[in-house]
Amino acid sequence: MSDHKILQYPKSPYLKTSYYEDTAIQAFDTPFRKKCLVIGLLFWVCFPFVASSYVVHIANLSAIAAIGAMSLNLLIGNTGLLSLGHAGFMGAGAFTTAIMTVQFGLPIWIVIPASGIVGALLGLIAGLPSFQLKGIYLGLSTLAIHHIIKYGCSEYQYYGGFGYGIVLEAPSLGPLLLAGKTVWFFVLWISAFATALLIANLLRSKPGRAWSAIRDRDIAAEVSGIDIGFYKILAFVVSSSLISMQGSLYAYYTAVVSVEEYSFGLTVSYLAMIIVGGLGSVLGSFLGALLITALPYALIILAGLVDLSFAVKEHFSVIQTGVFGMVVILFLLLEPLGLVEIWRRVRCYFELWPFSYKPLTIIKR
Amino acid sequence: MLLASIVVLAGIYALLGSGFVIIYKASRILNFAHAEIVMLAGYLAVSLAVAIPFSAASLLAVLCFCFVLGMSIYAILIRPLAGYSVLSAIILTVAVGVLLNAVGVFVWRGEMEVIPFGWRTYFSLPGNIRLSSIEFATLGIVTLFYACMGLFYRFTKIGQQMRATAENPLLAAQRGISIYRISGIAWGIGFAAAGLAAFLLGINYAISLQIGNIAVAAFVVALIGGLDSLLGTIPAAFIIAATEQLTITYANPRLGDAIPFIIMLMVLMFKPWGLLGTKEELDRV
Repeated sequence: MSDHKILQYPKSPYLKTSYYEDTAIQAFDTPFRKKCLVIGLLFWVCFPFVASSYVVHIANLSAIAAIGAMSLNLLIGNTGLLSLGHAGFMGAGAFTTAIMTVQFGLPIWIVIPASGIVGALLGLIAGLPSFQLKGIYLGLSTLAIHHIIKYGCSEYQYYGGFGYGIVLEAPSLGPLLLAGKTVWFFVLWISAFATALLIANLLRSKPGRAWSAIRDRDIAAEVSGIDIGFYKILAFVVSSSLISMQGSLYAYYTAVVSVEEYSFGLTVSYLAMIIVGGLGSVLGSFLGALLITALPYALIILAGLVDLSFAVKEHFSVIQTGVFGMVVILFLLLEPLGLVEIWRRVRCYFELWPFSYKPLTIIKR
Repeated sequence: MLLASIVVLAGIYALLGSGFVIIYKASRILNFAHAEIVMLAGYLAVSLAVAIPFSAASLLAVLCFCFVLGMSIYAILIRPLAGYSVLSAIILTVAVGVLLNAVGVFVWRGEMEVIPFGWRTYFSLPGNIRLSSIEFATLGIVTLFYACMGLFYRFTKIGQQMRATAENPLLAAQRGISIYRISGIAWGIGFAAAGLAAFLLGINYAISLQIGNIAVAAFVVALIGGLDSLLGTIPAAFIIAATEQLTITYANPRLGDAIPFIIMLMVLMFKPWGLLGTKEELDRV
């Protein structure tokens, strides 16, 4: 009888008794989280109406960056396949958008899925070498594909007669004209959250488990009956199709498509986001995207507070680049698991607060 | 004229590619900061050539600077990452490149500069080929560098230890070779090769921010030759230089930028370990 009574107490949210509970997305399982979610949602809805248009612009760029970082993180952090060509896939999406809207005048709800299909096909091609190649060699083959895509795009831009870029008109979704930063804020952040949900669900179902197995040891995964060729290609296809759609959104948002933008430097900034945020974590992708996107703007605000000599002001973009490099180096040396690890430590501290037990450390590669 | 330019470009590509190979052999890390090292060394050479009239002294100073820079980057940044995945090291070198690029642009303003190199006379060779003295000097320096590296690997103690480390780091360490010291020296030599290449680029063409593109093509050269084969960079450099120059001359300059990567993709598909590289490389992730 007394045993029965003990079971009546509310269960701790950290006690997992089944596989289903362990894999559930923990967003609304405790009263505290529910409150946080409601407050966060209210804040999110009010944000673009309260903040200045400059800040909303930064938030929009962060949302776009978060989609890209999540898709790259899926490939690198969760599957362990190196890609140095994601700027190329993004450019392919942007140019698909440009060609379809400028030349054929198609609406946005056809163009974005079409960009996704183009990205998926390119990802299929980029994934084929992964049957044979690993590590850095695979990264180099994707880098080669990036340059080939870039060549195709620059040929189109040159022969099409678009000198500095292809200008797009604001698209309309049904009766709603997608123009202005406030409208885009909702479109972009809803896309980012939808991508996050998609990736989180993929990661906790069969493909995600297969990807983790391949990342941890590909031979052991193959012995366990996972078709590693299929799942590697699937990771490439999903990742490049997502980033291609993100490129399409980015093209619509900035309203200009130019091949110079999709250089290797863009891939580097996405790599920086997932390193700074935390490999293999959806939350990490968001945190990294926010930090790396906001960093140059934060530096401008900081520079406004101190008096700078003219020479420093003149080359401010160089200082922004230098600080970006420095941040990535410091994270790699001091906190290789990224911002998400700092977040976990803070959370552990408060969970265990009055007690002096050391939290269990998760050992990750 | 075309043949001469191909040969000179191939020489510089081979030298640039050898920097990647020397570093990769010793530490299994592909140095993505190579292009920025070339840029930085080039600008330093320009400044020194103005300050010191005698160009051999300024060249020596640039090489010493690059050597020390390579060793310190290895000791301070790369060595603490030993044991982490290859990805971390690669991204670290990319970030180092970004930082060095910012430093270079901040100090030298990213303008286009030429290293003054005194005499320039033309020699006519049989077969209607004209080579300038600078091009002769370039080819001479590249040949000398390869000869020195060959002798270094074959006969000196450090060179032999470097080969042992490249073949099997664990066994080498157990035989008493300090693999961190060896890798540090290899990074120094690789950076010095980049400095030498920057000097040659500066006297042949010009130093500018676009010089990084040439270094990227050189990176393709290292891969096609085999990432751990110094000898392989020579035929690979000729292949890349010839196809690139022929495409730029007879087809389209934008295709000229892409063609090294098309060749690289084909090599990766059919012979991923390169022309003369070691085959079992691929199993190391």
